[in-house]
Amino acid sequence: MRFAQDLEDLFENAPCGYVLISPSGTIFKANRTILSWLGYDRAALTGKKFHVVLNLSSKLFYETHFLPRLRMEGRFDEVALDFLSASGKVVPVFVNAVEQRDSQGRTLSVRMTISNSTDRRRFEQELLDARRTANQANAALQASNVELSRKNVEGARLTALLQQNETRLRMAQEAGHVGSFEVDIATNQITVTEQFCRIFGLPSQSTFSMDAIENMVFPGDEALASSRGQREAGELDLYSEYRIRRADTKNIIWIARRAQISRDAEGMPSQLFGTVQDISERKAVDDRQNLLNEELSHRLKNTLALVQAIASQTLKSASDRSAVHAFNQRVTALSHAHDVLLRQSWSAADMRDVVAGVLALHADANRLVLEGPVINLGPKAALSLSLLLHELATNAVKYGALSASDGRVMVVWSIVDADLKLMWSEQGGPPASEPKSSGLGTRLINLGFGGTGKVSKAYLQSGLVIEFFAPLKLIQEN
Amino acid sequence: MLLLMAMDLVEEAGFSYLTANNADEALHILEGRPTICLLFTDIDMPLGSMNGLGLAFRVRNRWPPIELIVTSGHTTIKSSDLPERGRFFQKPYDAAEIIGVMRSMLITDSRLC
Repeated sequence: MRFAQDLEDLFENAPCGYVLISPSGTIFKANRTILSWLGYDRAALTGKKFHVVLNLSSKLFYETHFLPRLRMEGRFDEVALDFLSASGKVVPVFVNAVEQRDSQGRTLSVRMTISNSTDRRRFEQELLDARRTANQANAALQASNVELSRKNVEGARLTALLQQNETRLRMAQEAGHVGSFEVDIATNQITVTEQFCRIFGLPSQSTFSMDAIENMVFPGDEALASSRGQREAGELDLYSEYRIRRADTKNIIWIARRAQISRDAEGMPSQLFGTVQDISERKAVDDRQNLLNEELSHRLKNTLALVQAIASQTLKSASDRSAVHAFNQRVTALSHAHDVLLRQSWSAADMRDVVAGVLALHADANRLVLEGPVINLGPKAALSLSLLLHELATNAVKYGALSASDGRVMVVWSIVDADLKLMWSEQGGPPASEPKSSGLGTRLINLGFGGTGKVSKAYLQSGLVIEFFAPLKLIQEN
Repeated sequence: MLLLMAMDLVEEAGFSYLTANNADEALHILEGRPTICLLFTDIDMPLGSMNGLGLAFRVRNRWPPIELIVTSGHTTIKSSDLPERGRFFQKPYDAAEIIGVMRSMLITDSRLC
């Protein structure tokens, strides 16, 4: 009796729900556990069809899937179903079921044990959610990995390109013996390249104080290098050449420095960028060239002096001393034109230098007016012009304006279309008249400037006026 | 040949001359002749202990009244590189110009040359 009571109690208060269903699907017995889970009275639940306590999706699954299995196999295990409580709340459960059959195999009842799986479902859901989150995170991670590796590749490519450019620049600078630098004007620090250090004979180091660099400048050349004050004011020569004493060998070398000033937002000089180059070799070549030019000129002048001497000695017995004198003066004029050319390395001479040089031999500067633009004459034109002006000046001294005490000569040149126009006009001397004989001087004048023959002469009361025209192309020919 | 021309030039200016082939010879002559009043010299002279420029300075120091005319093919020398009152002429020079300078140097001089 006691056992029967215990059994009854176990049935009613078991840790799982018990439901007995008739072959027609009607619940005919349910224990207290399931009643409390679902919030039904015993009377309210018994007599109801089983699928009434299921939600819609469980109802479909139960009828199409689990019920046929139960019919075929006589049982099913651990089927997850959602019950609906009396208040309409979903109660997730696991259901095990067995059919009770008679000896002919007819169903007498279905016995179900039901475990409440609210916690487990929630846990599973959480697992699922966690997995989804993990998957999403994983996907995002993969995407960012892909992006990262793409960026890495791009970054590596850019880095390689940058390195390549830097290498090229460095190689070009090394090949050209060019060092570069950057001076921070406020701190007076200089950042330099390796080639810079090599040129200056400094230890390979990226920054130095400007004082250290300026101390290397050869005494006397300080004014050629920039000073701190000049840098701060932003007023310095952008190109400069000066000597330095190398830090290691103490050898003196020539530096060519090019620089550019960069300014801050307020327009104040902030940095000085630039390059340095060792130009000692070029300087040595220049020096040799100058020495050679000097020597050549010296010899030429001695030779011309010798020609004068030979002429004077040879023509010693000649009755016309003035011819010897004129010859010697012409040689002197020629020599002077060579001087002007030498000063510009025999390439071109400034027109004013040639005119002033020749006329200075004949008259004081206050009797001459020279006017005209800067024009570079080729070597031939410079010599031709020298001889021409020499003849004009000689005549002026003998017969023209320069023979009178307050006579003056004006030489004015200008560019007219493609020609150089040169005007010689005398004033303040005796009236001009056409020469009776035609000596070398007159013939030279008639040939014109550069032998073009474009000459117009006017013998005026006030003095001689002559205009010469010569194509610019011809007189600038090198 | 250049010396010959210089001799003629001095003659033409109306003076008499003595010639020397280098600075040492010139100094030797000057020591024996107190009547010399002008030195006309080239800078480049072979076989001497000094060139014409050195000679000009030496003469100015030892015989200050002697006038100096110096010539050379060098383009870089100017009259201001010479001792005071010295005149420089680049070769080839204009003989007439030098004659004029010689005359003005010596005729304004009260000494008899």
